[in-house]
Amino acid sequence: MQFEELTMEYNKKPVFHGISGALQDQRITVLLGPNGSGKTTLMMAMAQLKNPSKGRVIKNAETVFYLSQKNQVFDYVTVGQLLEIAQLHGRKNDIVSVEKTIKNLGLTKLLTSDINTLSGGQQQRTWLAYAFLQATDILLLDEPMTYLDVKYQQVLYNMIMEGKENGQTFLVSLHDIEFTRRCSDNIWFLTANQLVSGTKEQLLTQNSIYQYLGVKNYFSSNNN
Amino acid sequence: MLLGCIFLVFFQLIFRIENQSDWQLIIVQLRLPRLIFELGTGFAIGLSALLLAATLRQPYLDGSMIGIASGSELMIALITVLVPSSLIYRVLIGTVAGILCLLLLRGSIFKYHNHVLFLVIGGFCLAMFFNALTTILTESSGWTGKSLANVTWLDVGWLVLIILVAIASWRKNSRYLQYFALPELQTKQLGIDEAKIALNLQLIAAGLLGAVTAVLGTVFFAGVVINQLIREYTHLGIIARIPFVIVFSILDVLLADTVAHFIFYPTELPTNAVLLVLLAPAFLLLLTRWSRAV
Repeated sequence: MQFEELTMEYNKKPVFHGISGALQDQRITVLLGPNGSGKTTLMMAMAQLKNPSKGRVIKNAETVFYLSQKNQVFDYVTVGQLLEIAQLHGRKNDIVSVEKTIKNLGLTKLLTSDINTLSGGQQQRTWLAYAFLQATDILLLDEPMTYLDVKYQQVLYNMIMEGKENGQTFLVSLHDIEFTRRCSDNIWFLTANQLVSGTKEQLLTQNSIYQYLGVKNYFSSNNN
Repeated sequence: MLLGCIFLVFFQLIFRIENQSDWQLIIVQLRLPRLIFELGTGFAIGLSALLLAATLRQPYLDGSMIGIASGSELMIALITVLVPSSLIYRVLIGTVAGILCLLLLRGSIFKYHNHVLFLVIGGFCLAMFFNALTTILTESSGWTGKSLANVTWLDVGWLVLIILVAIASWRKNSRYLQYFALPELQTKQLGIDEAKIALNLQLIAAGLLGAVTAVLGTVFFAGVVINQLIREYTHLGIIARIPFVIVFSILDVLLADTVAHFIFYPTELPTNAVLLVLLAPAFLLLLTRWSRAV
């Protein structure tokens, strides 16, 4: 999957201009960038949920699913009902993988609960289960660690790794450099007029983090 | 609820028939069409509120709050002044008016449906504007409207036909209704043509509400109170809630019209006003539950 000369606008103001990139198959790419740099907009364009002002997204037969950073339901919907919808449209109809996903994300006891009554972390785990049960080759996860405690951050890490082993491709937008270092194969830094891409060894450096995220001495201050 | 409906149906049919010789005329020409229209009215108010709330993803809205019912009432007032002979088709005219109001809303206020306040305030302004026009038009015409006392078999026939059309359209679109509980982004990814289905379901809602409002008049908030009350106490999703909302709505209309018809018999009270008064405690109950949740 790739995109060429992509220009996106929000409220008629350019978010980014003329960027190009290619998502490597069966790899985990982490999208980094400051708030408002257009990470969500880029992911939505890649999922063809937003039309670019200019440029194009090119994909072959791959299926793409995008999980946004904020999700909500608008009526009484239980966790079980939401996951049933995912199963209906998903390929993971085998009961073993469905049960495994539910168990891993600690949702077994919440299946009959109304999603609106759950905590932020429980809701996020529900939506992650919904995403991982989808029939998709490419999973675009927009800040999936939001509200997750340390235990479920590790569960998410394991699920992403397992998905990769099973042939899925991931693009994950994150703000956590340590998690990025652990799970990524490739890094994308998004700025207003360029997408800088490379391996984590090339890009997860002091200079890049300062240049693209504006944080001085990130690693040395973390070591202290 | 069902038992209550059955009891009220029989009560309305046979209560206070003083002139034994005219009982057939009273039942067949007056009470039976009125009763059937009440059943249709309950069905229409309940279903239209649920459909509009679901498709707009705004649980605290119904067709009365966004001007559909008031628009239908305005059209009936206009017809009364301009072509009074057409009033025999008032149910059909109300349906057309409801649909026209919906199209007006879809071309304007619904475009900002993600901004709840804009939707509520914009819709309410439109409803009040239609109400004001209706008042001006009917001020000195002697038009009273808003009564089920003069329901005819022709009204019933049109309402039954409109309900049948609505049910036919509903059968084609109903399986998608549950997806309106999900964010728009997700329904898109499920490959659901949300714009088309929302239009179809909203047409059903507007047509039904317009039809019954033409006879009953506007009942502010009734739909939203009924829908929310059932939601709060049953904890059921959109689809599973439908029969309960419809039966409860029918019960409310039957009860309201029984009170309107018989409490100061032979003087009639406006059924829509009685319905609103009867639902006031339910509205207070909901407010209490919501305030506890906050």
